[in-house]
Amino acid sequence: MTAPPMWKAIYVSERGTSHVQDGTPCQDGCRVRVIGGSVLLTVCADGAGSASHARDGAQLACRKFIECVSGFLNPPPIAKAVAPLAEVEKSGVGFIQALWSLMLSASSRVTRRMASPRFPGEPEQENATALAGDDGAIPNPADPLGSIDRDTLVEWCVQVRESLAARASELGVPIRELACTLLGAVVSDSTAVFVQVGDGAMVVGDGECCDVVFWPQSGEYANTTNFLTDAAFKESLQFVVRQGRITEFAGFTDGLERLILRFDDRTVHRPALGPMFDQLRAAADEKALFAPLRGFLQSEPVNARTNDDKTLILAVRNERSGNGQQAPLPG
Amino acid sequence: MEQVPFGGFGANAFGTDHFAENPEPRCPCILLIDVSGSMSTVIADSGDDLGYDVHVDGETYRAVSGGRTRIDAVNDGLRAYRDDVVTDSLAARRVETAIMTFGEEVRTVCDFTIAEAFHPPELQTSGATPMGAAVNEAIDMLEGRKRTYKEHGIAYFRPWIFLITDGGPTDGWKTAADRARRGDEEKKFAFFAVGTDEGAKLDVLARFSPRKPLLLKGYRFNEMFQWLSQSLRSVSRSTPGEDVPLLNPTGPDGWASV
Repeated sequence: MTAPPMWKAIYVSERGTSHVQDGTPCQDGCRVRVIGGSVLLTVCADGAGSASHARDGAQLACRKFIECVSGFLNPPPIAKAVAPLAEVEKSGVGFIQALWSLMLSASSRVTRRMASPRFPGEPEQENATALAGDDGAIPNPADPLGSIDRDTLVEWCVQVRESLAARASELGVPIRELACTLLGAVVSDSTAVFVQVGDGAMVVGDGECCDVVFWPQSGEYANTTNFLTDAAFKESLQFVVRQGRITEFAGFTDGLERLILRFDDRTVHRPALGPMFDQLRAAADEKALFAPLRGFLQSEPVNARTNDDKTLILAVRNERSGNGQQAPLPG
Repeated sequence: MEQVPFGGFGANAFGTDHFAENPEPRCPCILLIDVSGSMSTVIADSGDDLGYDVHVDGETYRAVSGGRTRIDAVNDGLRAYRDDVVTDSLAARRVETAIMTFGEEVRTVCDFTIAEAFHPPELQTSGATPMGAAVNEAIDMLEGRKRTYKEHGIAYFRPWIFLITDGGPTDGWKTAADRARRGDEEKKFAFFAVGTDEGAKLDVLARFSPRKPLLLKGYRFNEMFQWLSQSLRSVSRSTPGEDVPLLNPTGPDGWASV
């Protein structure tokens, strides 16, 4: 018996009602990748409403960020980034079919992982399991994130920004026409690195839901924030390394801020995320939750609270792989 | 197949002004309205000449038996404004309107209220035009409102002060004008001044804001209030980085000239 991947993640960018009304596309982007079966890499970006190529900017920024971090971690070829759901749907193929075909087009190991019905996994993950102590903590003297510091993060962001600048010059527009925020996370067994420019937020939990990593960057007014394309983006770039084992992660763009965060005491509105994490954790197969997530983001209660594009990334650590004895299968 | 209710938000109970029930970001606007005696000037459907003069707000007028006055047009416009904002589900919970009048005195006739709960009162006229004091009080009121938002963790958009007058200040106004102009330049709020007709002292109004004062064309009060509601609707749904495009009120089909 082999161990399953250590993370289950679902993520969707949905078009806001205002963009549906005026026929503009979703200007958010998001990507998730699990590297080496254990390091979770997520990114989302919100293209500025005024930027003519906001969608391009947000999606390129996500792609490039994943590329930079993957390159840094020098991953073995075992995972492939899955396109954001919106792109899958656009292909015209039925959603589940499309997702499957994406999975099947990935490397053989991913195919094997996804094709098996319950908790299939990869041999190398057993090694990770073996490292786990009885208390559930994973002592990992060679944490792949150990050498990441602010300079590393700034360098990734500079590279992302350069790719935006290059695209802007191809398009013959100023870089501000590709303006977007950036929220990136790299989470290993014992360390997590976060970077943020602009609004939106990332939320983490260690079994107890949840902490906000950075409060959304807003100017005095609700319609002002920082963008990666700003000349002075390094001043607004926030960066933190957190030690400890993160078991739940959520990342979202500003369209969902007011549903997930409590602005009066700057905390997480627990009833918003808790049930989602529980459900994702309990799901035998997380891909069955993409459609409900999408439906939720398009639901009336959500649209009543925001007209903006909305992206939600949810990930939970698959404790049954890393910590099977402490967390037996329910039921 | 297992049916899974996703998410834990449930139904939302809106319909009140309270921040707990309506945590939407707010788009505040103060309507600063001249209710001096001259706002009772008939602009249409003038009744019969009653045969005597009246002295109002420093001017002499003929008394008439009836007609549609400037303040009537403002009152109608306020209702049209309200009706337009509430048709926009998001703006209805985000746009907060306050009404402050200046005439006999400076008076807050309506504190900040979201459109859903905004029922504009029928404004009455009397007295002079203490515009300087009114502008000062309006700015104080906005600053207080911003503090309240911050205390409750409510985000907000750049507030508007929208001044409507048919004349010019009859009190000391220069300090207030400097304060308004500086506040607009520092993006603390946006200050708009509208003169209802040729009697409005546009040169003085120009001192209150870096924006040119607007002169209402042919008493198009309704169009003006509609422009205001449309503009605030745009502001209230704007997202970060978005320049809010306002229709040019002085265009060929607009309601104003400069």
